Amino acid sequence: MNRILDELRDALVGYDTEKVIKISKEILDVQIDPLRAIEKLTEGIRIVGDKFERGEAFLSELIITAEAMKEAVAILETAIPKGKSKKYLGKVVLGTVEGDIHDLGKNIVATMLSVSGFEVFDLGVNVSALTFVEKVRETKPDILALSALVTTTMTKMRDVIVALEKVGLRKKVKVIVGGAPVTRDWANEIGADGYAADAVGAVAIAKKLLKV
Amino acid sequence: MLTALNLEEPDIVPVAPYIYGREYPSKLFGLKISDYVLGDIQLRAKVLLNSYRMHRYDWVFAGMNEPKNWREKVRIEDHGNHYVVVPKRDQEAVVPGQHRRVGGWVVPKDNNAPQYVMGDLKIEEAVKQLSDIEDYESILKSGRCELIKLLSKKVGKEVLIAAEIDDAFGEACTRLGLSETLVNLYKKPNLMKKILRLINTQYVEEGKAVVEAGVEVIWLCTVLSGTDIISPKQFEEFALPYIRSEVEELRRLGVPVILYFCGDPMLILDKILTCNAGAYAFEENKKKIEVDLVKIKEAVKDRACLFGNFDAVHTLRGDPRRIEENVKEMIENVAPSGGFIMGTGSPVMYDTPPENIDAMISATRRFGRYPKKT
Repeated sequence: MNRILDELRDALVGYDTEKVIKISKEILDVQIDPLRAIEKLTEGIRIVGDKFERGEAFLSELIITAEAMKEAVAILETAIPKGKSKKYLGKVVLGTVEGDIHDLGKNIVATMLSVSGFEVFDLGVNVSALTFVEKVRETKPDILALSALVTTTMTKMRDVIVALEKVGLRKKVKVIVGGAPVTRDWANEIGADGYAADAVGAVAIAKKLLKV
Repeated sequence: MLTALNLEEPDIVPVAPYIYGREYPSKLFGLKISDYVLGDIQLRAKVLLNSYRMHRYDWVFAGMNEPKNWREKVRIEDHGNHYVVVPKRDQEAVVPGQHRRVGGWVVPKDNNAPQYVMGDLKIEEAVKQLSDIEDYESILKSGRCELIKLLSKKVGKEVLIAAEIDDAFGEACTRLGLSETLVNLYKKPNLMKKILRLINTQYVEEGKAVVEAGVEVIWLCTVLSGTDIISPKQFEEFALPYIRSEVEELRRLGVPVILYFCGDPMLILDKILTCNAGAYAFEENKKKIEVDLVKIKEAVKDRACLFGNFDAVHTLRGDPRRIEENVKEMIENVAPSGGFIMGTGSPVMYDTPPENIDAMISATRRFGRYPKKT
């Protein structure tokens, strides 16, 4: 059993999407616990994430790994028995701030958080401070992740934090920020709880903030 | 400019900032970005010439414009603080002021730069769409080179007219969306290559059209193929062959081709330099990307001209004294022996102070006198 699970992880680490899907189906056929397979996939994506951090893997490789994992998890989840549902590390609401329609980085962060075990609510692009606040009130996330690609729109991140403060929700959610023009200094200036330079960093800071 | 592009020492280092009319020149002219983007060709020519005449840099960076009938092909929706330009059903998205074809276009009414919505075409649809190549005669007839013709007529005898042509990989990302493109490098590599070949064919036709219209130098803008996005192996397989063939075809038109590389070039520098461009230009340093111009100059040697990647995002919008220091340092490091042009790593931004551009140019004129000792 361990051999097939190791093969699944290795196929993912080798960016072999077709093999990942094929083995995932085989795992269901031989009735291996799908949650164990998902754990193996998580191990695989962690390996690729670490390689990315060390400069040994590239963004395209990170994306294909995450996409392959998403497809595999969709297959495996169909066989998870009721009452034995997948446990999430935490809940994240994310989106690109108002005035900014860029979604590349935000989508990659959403995928990486999702395949790393977070429950993700993606609000899309051009999201107003009010919409962020409403979603935080509704879903009670552990983390609110804000993205901006343009220097002029990253100022909207501050508006979201101020809006959370006004309605008394700021202390109930950790806010992390990222995007091309965003820096650690900017995160500190606007009172965010965390900053990440890339998608792998976003997963790391989310885990650190939630101590998971 | 041409002396430097021919790898010789001119009397002084030329200055050729990467400058889109909708950005800094619009501000200088007292326009909002949306006024320029949705304005007509006469207005755009005035904006570009106003900036050129004020600063007297060594080229006019003209762009292709939309076809004469572009408004018939799009719907412009007023969304309060911004317009959204979207293609009508079954029409190609035509972007005002640009020639990339995208999923849509957002034009803020304030002075934020327009943003395009990446396409979400499926790869098979993209192949079908791209198979309909528009030849250069049709492009000329469509009116897309009218701005170039106008500028060429007005100032073509006194200054070089440049135009931007894009690259196949970046265009594929724009049409399909980045994630879709990257995933298809693994899942449907042959179809991706077909798309890249088709885009190349189209861009060579656009190159022919702009040269016919009066362009004397082509700025081949390559995006999203640096190692901040794809691996060196993927660059060699999916980007390099197409950039190389595009450069080769465009050079056959008899004009110098400047290969501008946007993204992290350092791991693949030796490969990029095999493209046989007349000049190379690179983006400035940014988060997680360090572009070592001295190392690049050593690698380029006498093979091609090199553009300076002066930081247009931070330094050029900052303290003029720092601008002078940076210009001096760049010239000392890479200008000796010629084949160097002072350029910017990114387009000059809307809110750049005019005196800062003057500072960059005057410092280049002061410190960039030849002959220099190597």
